[in-house]
Amino acid sequence: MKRKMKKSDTMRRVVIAITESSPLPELWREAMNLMSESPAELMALFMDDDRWRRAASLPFTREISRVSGAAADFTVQRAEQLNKEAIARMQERMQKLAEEAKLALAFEVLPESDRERIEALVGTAQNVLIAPSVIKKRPIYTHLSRCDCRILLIESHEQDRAED
Amino acid sequence: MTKDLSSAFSVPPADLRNACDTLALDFERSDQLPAGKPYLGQQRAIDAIEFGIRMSRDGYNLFVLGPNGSHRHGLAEDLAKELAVEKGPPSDWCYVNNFADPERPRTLCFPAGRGSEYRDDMQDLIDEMRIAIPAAFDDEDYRNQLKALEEVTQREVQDQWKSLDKKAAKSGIAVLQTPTGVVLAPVRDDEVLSDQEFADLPNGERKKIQATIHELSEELQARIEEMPKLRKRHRERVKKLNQEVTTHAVGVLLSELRKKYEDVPGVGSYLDAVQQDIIDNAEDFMQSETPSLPFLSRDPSRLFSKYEINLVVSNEKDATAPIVYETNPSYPNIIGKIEHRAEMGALVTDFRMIRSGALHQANGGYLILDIHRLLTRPFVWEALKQALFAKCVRIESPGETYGFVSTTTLRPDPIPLDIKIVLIGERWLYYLLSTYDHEFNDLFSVAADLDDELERTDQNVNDYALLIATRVKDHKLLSFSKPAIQRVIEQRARHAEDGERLSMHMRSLDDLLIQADYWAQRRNADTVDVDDVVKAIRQRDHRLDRVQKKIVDAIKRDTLLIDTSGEKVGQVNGLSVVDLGEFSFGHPMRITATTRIGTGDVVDIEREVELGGAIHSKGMMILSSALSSRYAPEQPLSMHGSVVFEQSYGGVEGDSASVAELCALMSSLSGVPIKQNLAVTGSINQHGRVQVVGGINEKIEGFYEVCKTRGLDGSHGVIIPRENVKHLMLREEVVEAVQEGQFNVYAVQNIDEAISIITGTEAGQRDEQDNFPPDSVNGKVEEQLVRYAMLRKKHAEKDDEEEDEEE
Repeated sequence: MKRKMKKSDTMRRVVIAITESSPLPELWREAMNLMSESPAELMALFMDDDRWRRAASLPFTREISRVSGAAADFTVQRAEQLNKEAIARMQERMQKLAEEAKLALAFEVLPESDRERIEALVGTAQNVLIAPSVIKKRPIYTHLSRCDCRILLIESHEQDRAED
Repeated sequence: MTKDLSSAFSVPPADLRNACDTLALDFERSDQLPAGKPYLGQQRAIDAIEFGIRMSRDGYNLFVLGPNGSHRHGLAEDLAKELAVEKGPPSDWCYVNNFADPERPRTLCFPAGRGSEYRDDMQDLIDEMRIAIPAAFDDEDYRNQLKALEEVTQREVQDQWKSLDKKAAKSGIAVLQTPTGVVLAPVRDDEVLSDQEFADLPNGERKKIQATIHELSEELQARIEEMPKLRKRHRERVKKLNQEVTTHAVGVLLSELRKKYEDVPGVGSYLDAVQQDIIDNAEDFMQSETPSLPFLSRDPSRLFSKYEINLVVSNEKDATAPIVYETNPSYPNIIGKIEHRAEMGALVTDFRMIRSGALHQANGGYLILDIHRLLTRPFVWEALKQALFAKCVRIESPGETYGFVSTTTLRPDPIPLDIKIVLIGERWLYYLLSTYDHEFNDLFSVAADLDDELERTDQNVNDYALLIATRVKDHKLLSFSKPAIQRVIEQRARHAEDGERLSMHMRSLDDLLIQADYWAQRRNADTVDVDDVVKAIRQRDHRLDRVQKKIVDAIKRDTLLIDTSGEKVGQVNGLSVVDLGEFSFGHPMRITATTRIGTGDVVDIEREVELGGAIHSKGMMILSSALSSRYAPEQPLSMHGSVVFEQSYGGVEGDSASVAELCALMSSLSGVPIKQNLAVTGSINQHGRVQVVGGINEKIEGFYEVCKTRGLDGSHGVIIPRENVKHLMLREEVVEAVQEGQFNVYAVQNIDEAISIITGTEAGQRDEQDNFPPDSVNGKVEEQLVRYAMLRKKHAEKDDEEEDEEE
């Protein structure tokens, strides 16, 4: 599962980077493994990319149903609604996992374009970023990979299916 | 009529009770006697039953006729048992699931004893399958194969997406996933173009991007449409794998069973169907996760229940043909039934809930049924006939047949029927069915008519004593002394209402023996003696004689007016019998008659007020005819008579009072008084002949009881038909009273003898000039009738003259 890891002596914060289709159980499991070695602040960071919104702004974009193959207009409103739902769903799931583990969890939503704030959250050497492997395909990964933090990339079949 | 004349008609005490003093058997106690014939005097019925049971043709079912308590069941059952040994045990039958049509369960037939063996074998098979099939699916090899199939399918799916993704990427198009679908959007430097960036592109490039997206969209839609096919292919591959696994798991087990039952028709094809069903439904046997809703969970034992065997008829290998006596012949008990169980508010059923009836259990043997009970249970009679005609028994609910029930039910295959039905019932039911049910005689061709009585010959008396001894042993009673048995035999003659016959009503015989045994045991005796028998009889009467005592008391207190002394014109003591079922008794009734000039009619007041039955009315008409034919046959009968049973408020039936009624009329006409210390019974024909009546003993004893309460003086007595003398079995007390001259019984053959005794005046015979003596009763009757005729003629002439004058 582990694709990349940068070693550091101490750990201050574990940041779980999630997107609208991240494999939460696997990410969470990895975070718990780390936390069991060294207690740290736990944070979930929803990296809100605006690809849906940008695609929806184009006049010819259609959403094709995975079930029936039927095509429908993909509007900005639809993109906003999907984004909100995805954030809410992920937040709820993360909070539930944290409650079960009796841990405090901070949940942040930042646009991928806000690279400075993202780097500020994860950029130090004492921090660890746990992210789905598909993040490598996103532009933000280029910036994250230049940071001092350790990065753990998690891969899953489910995610592959969704992303592929 | 003189004392000498009446004495000529006196019945001697020896004829009043046919005592049992001819028992030739030499014994002191009944336990010294050998076993008697179990069904004495029933040879006709025995022959009929044997014939009916042995006859194998259709329609030769039996109807055993006889009254309740005549041991009809015992006779039929014992004979059937004897013949059942000759027949082997019938086949076993079971219902199994019909996998092609579960609503029509099919049957399997096995040789006796092998049905239960097969059921156990199938149960063992199920138990093994219950372990073997899930174990096969839990096996590492299976899981690996399943995983490989899943990987193949997953790869196929991924290939579909990846190839599209690559193709899109080459064209600068991103494939974006949404929770429900896919969106295609143009990208530059890994960023999706916004509307402004897209608008900034040259027109040709925009068109090209749109065309590419349009083309990719169509391809994407085509691939999405292919996805169900991929999934279906996956399911088929998994199903095939599951079937292979199941086939392997059960194949060996089933082939063993197939071999074991290869000689039983139908089992092989059934096992093929079982195997096919298991293979077709292999996935059902995999242990699945617990469903989210508890009521949706499946009981794993039910998965295999459809392979169970419902053994509805099971016989022992070495058994005889079955003999079934169904005491409650309701429809389900005879035909069988299909039970239902409630599941989530609905009634459901399957082949395992088919229940056999008595027809199934007795198939290949004998089914004994009470016809009265059978006819009083709804739908059974028609269903039984239907089964016998069709020679098969088909289980179906009568509610469904008549459309009362709309619940899902089954239509099981019928089971062939080879059965002998033995109906037990009273004669009237046999005659009723024989007359009014046109199918009855086609199905029940053999009637076994049990005799009620046995002729009291010396041989039969000896045999009867042996029968009594046998029943004493059967009931484990104290041994009966010889006098006790003789007394029992006498009582059996009394029960038959005939001194020359013995009753074959076995229940009443058993009752007497058991009750005599009780009284003997009460006095700590080791043998039942004659006193115990007498006590049993008296105590039984005492328990039942409340009504009789009330009537006697009413007569004693003159509430019910009965004279037992003196003489009265037109008033006679008749005798009637009250039948209370197990007990009957006689008592006197006052009959009065009045006469006057009239047109020759005798009015029966009972008939006029509709209290008289048909036979009573017939008796009245006969006596009217006897009267008109005996007296002044050349003159018109110019009298009007009326006859009534005084203080009778219920129905009157029978003609046994017609002699008394004629006596009352003759007394009224002649003015000759009737002795009230006598009572008379008998019916009469048109020629004045006195004929036999029923209940003669009770009638005599009834009048005796009344006279006794008022004091017997030797003048009291009863006039009975001569032909009834042979029926006399009077109580010892009455016989003793007659012996001591305190009471009399006179037997007469005609009305002249009766009127002579009851009036004490000569009846009178016609002389050479065809006239009765003027002082005789007949002479006075005729004189009065001639006088009425002349008076009527005078009145008629006077009326004619008045009419002429008016004209």
